[in-house]
Amino acid sequence: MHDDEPTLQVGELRREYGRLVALDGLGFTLRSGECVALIGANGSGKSTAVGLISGQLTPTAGTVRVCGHDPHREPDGERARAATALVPDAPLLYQDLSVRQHLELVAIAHGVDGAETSIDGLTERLGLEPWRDRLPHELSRGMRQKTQLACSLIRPAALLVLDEPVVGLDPPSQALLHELLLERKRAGVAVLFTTHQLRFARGLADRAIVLEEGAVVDEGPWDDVYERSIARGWLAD
Amino acid sequence: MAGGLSAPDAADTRLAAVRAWWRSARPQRTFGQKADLVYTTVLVGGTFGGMAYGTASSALAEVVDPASIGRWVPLLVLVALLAVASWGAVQGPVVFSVADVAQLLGAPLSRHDLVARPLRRAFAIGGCAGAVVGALLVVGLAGRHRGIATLDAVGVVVGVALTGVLGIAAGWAVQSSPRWERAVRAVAWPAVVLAGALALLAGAGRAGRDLALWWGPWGWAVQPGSGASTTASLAGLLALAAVTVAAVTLALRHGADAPTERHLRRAEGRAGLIASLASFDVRTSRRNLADVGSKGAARELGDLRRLRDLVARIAATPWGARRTGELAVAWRGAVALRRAPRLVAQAIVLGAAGTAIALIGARHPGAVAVGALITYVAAARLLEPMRSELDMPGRARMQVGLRLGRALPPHLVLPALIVCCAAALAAAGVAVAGDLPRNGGLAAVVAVAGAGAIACCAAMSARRGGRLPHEILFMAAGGDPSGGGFFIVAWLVAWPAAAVLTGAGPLLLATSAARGTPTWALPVCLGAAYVLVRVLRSEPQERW
Repeated sequence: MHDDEPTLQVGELRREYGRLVALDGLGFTLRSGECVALIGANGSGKSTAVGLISGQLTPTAGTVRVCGHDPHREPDGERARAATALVPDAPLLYQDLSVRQHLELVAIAHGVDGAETSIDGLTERLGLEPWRDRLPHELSRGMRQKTQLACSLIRPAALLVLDEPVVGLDPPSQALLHELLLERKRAGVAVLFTTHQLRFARGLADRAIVLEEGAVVDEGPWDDVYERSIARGWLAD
Repeated sequence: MAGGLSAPDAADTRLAAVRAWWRSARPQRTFGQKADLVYTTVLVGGTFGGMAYGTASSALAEVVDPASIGRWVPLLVLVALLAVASWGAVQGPVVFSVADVAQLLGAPLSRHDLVARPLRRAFAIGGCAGAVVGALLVVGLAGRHRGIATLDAVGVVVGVALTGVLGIAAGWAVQSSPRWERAVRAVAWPAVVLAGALALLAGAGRAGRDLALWWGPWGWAVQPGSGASTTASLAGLLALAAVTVAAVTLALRHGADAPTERHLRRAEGRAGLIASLASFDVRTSRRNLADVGSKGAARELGDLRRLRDLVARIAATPWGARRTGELAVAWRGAVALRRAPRLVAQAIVLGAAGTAIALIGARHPGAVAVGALITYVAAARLLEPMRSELDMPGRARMQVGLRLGRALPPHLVLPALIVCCAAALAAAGVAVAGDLPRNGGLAAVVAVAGAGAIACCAAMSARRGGRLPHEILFMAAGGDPSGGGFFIVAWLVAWPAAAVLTGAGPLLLATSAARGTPTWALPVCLGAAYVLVRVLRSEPQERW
């Protein structure tokens, strides 16, 4: 990856499910240390966009490049996956692995140096310390979400993608997440997240893209998009 | 910490580290435990296999001989191959868990290496399963003191084992590629129809038999058991081996090609399948699997104005005025079937095949029963609107003002009509071919009426809701000396067995009488159908 190359390039991204066009014409770039919020109502195409960018869904048309690599083609996808950390909207955890074992597995799979120290630090910071030997079914929804978040934060990534990250988190945990994402931004990680909650995005997102029925209806600097959204009355906080 | 943490750089080293960590986090069986398992399996298999060999040999020898191998087995092998390939559309040989997709497929690990090991294991399982089927064929071929040359026996086992491996390769191709999935979906039914036609042709003479044996790997595999010459058998096996090696090589080389989305959908489907099976919910299990497969482009409904006008004209008559609700439900069924022409075509093919098998093989009760079961499957495939009605039993009352019991029989009209028409077509074809059994005219009429009765049995099965009732589970747990298996199996096979009785029984009666024409076989069929419709109609709303 060249220094001037964006971390994420998305061009004319389109996804159809049969006759339904879930996303059409999404295009933007995201540079190191930048944060973009994808906002929109239910069914507007946010999760589809996240799935396409993270390589979990295959686009009908358009391109995605993470650090110059296509996540939908092998072996190029391997490099794109090395650069992308995803926090899905629902925690995807092994039922027979404890919180700590999940973090160990992710650390090994991503070749993390000094993983034991990182795991201890992260579990303590996220309040998972008392739960680290528990299995997922012994955890609340919020704790499972935090475990999933920890799995994404324990590993190195140039791009952090979060789908509805605040769902299931209590207000203190939301504030902690906000803080963690700001730290990642300052460390040069490009952050992309989807949310309904404009308050969470405030102070975090540099830019915003508003989706409606799969199409981009507004985009620009966060403050401008926020004001326009409030003025239109369809994205009130 | 399990396995210790390291930071290997290369993807293959990381994968090796992940596997080592898995082994320590999830302790594997020790060598002693594995040896114990093998010992127990061999001991139990040897004891029971030895006891069952005589019976199996006699039973298989009845149906397996060089003539049937040359005529019917290529068709059956093709159906099995297509079934394994189609299984790739809903699951396939390499299925990860949802967590695997997130944590392993989402990691920078080599997809090729992640897939290769389970794929190789699937090839081994496919080969072993094929070898077992091949061995059963050999047992049948050697039965009745016919004996079989060692070379032929080995050839049959190797041929069917190779076909098993080929099936796994086809399953992986379908699992990993939407293009292959569409191709297999498009050719599957025409191929089965063509194979059926070739099987019929094979009975007509040497040329037809050679064609059935040579038109694809499904024929090459069984050449050694069909009485073909050693040269032909060897040529067939070599061709099959070449195709299998090519398919396996391609599958392993393109192991990384399956998009993450296809792995994810299968993983989600499997999770749903396990959950629904745990609650003995067969219908939801089937739907979980069906949701995994690609739907293709949604079909335009087209203009059903003429049919709608016809329904309106009937509703305007004094008879129809009292049945507007039933007419509306039947119309809804027509709309549903119009959206699924492939399903209708499959039901017609199955219904016709079932009737043809029953009529041609009317002297063998087993063949008639198989024919009835195939017809049952044909009818069951068309009953999805009825199942949907039963899933939301208040809907008919709300939307068309019918209680559930009155809404069910109209759902049966079109499926029964389609299956009866298919049966009539098959009966006409068998008559033209001159293959009708004794009392041919009556047998044909009974076969058509029997198809209607079978459709009623399929409706009765659909009426149960697809979920094993709690009372059956309690009875199975409490009073069944087999530990519950007998009750559960009895519940599952009750209506298919009733379909065999109501479909095959009258046909056997109609064709087996030594003297006279047992015309009462027809009222037996019609009476059974009438009783079943009355039972459907009496379905109480409250049960749901």
